[in-house]
Amino acid sequence: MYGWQGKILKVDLSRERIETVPLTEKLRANFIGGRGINAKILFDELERGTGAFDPDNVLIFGSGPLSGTVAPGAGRFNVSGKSPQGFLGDSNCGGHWAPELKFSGFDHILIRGKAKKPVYLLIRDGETKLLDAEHLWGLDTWQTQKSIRKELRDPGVEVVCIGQAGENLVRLASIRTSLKHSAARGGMGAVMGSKNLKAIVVRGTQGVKIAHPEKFLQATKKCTELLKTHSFQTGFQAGDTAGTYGKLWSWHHTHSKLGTKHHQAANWEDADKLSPRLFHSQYRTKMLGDFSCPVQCLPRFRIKDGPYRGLYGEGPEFESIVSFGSMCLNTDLASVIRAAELTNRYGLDCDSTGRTIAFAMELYERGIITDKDIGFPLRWGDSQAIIRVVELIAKREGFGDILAEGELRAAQEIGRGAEKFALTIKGLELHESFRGSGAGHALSHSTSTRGSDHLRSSHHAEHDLSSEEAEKFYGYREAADRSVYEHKEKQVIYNEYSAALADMLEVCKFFGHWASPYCIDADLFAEVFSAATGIKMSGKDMLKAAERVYNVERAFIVREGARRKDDYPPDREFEDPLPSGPMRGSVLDRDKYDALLTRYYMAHGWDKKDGIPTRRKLEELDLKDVADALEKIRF
Amino acid sequence: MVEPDECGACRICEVVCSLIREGECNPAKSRIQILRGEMLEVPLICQQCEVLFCASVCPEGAIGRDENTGAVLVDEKICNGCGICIEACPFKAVFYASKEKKVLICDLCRGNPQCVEWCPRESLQYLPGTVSLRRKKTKGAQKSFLLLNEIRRGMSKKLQIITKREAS
Repeated sequence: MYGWQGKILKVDLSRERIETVPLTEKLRANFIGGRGINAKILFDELERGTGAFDPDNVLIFGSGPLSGTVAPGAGRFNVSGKSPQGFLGDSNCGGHWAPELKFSGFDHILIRGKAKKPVYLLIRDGETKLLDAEHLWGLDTWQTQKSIRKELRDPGVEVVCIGQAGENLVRLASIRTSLKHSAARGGMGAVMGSKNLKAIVVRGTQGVKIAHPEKFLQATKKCTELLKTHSFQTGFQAGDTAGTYGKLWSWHHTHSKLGTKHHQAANWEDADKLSPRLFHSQYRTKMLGDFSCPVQCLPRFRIKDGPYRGLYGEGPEFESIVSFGSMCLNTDLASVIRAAELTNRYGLDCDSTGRTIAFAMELYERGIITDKDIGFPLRWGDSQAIIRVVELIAKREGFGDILAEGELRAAQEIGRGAEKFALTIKGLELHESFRGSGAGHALSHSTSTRGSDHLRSSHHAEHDLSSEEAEKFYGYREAADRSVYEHKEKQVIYNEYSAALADMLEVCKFFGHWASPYCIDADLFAEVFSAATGIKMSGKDMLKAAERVYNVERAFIVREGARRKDDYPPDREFEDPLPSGPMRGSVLDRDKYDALLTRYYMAHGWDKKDGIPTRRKLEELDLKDVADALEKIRF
Repeated sequence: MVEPDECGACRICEVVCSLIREGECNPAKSRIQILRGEMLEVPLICQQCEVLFCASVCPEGAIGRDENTGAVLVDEKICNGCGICIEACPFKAVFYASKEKKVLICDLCRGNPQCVEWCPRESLQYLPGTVSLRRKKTKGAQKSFLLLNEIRRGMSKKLQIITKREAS
């Protein structure tokens, strides 16, 4: 078989049974790989209403047909299951793990059940074993990886694991590999912890076969040349704009979408104090790339002086700077990096963790919680307090035990009106404020299948394109106007598919149309895919497959109870005008958003009241079984 | 010429090498491999030594040089896969394909090395053998050698001193 290895590993931890099942041709052709196949397996295997920490919940790891090849950025994988925060847990992660999974002989791993005591799964060249992990329980993710490499006497094994946060069922816990790569959003680390599974270790020498090597290399070369010429990508590599931090910091600030003071604002007057220039001149030692990445936007750093002397690692990404910097009004860069490092070690989602801490800071400012609840003051910008709270959350100690539930559940526990300040969509902490940045932005985050997130769709036309470009790529000039609500559904839906396509092929999203319409389009992806797998597909076919995946995901969350109310931004977005910046005074318009949401449902071919995928749509997408399953529960 | 400081550990070279030479994407069958430790990486590839340790220990006489490029060449018909050359290589740049029972050494793709062609950074370069470049090449090779030993010994403070000295 070309591209795929053609095998799913099924592991039942309760019964300690491991079996290999074939990856059927239907799954491959209809869902391609990674997130796509994960979504279908999840829909088929999970009983409706299963709790996230129920042993019956599944945890699916999926690589794609291009993983392990030289296609640009093809080193990623998805982890899917029922989320402990909302409905769908599905997070994407880079590094070197996915290629090694392929080389070990498998495309996907499906895990269910719960081990009696801590174990880890070892897969070596098709051989599988469950090994005792009691000696690893309690170690952080860096120590865990080191111990496993030492114990197996092989520096080349790749490990995904959880840290203390996952073990303690912190709902913000992530699954980790290497120093900083993480499958973070949605709390899949806690699901792994609930199964007593500490790590999955892969190693192999089984190559990925390519149907037409010459054509494949040509198509790949085309992609890398395209990425080389476009300034969006070259900016990632050089000087002060290197990495996501360098590239996106001032961009978010300029476009009024920099999460500030727990989203009370979208611009920050102190943004310069966390300027990437400081990081690149003082701390950065090198730039790195993930597996098969021609752009290489990952910085490595070492702090040589000051109170955090000796700190080293990879990153930080833009999101950690927002989480522990602007969200908490913290201007001390080294402490931001320290907090990010702690989330790496403990295995926490830095997005949700930083936002939850900012939420607690807002409650403290408003007097809803006090020193008595927390044990120490929690004022805006207090870097020491931030670091302390990160530790408390990971260990579920003291007040950290409440915050470890995430904003939504913590607010319910605290009461006293805290609910009003919990900003979440589908249970996931609000990623960005939309008041200043556009209706498309609001729609793309709010309708995202996994909750508030920028990685399920995008709205770049609202910022990065001129009206002419918007007309060229999206067919209407208003796409570039952030105040317009009309037509925004088209842009959002198109980018839902381009994001899903990247996740199905398990390549980096930054290389596709999700990032910019000047990057690799579906046709070129199809060329690479066809040359690699020998299955002829056009760009149109690929987008159709992406639509199929998005519908399965929507069907999954609908079956779990998601309805129209779950597709709205938090009330604050409609009520509190932005206090500062160029977009001062702007809010979202509820009526216009309402109409936009209805248009979005209709454009998808879903029922216009609650966005439930219709039988007609599902059958058109060859998803009759999904339609049947939905029908059983709806009425 | 190999410059470990420029290597971003993307392993494109590994995959391209194995795909072009062995017909599948498989780093285990690549003639260049990136050894990765915490916070460092070293590209392992034949440094085309002037005195060939590998050839001098080969009991079968299977290792020689390409007449045109001067690159090290393994005669696959003669090589019996005993692996003594793997032990002898000071740069750990001889690899073993276990299924085929043969050793893999970089032969510079007959003068058109594809890893260099695909390297997105300037970690790998293929340059004419002038005196000054040769000195540079030796420096890169030395660095690889020291880093390699460091990885074996595990992370230590020595490493920072070495890289700092090399950089200055």
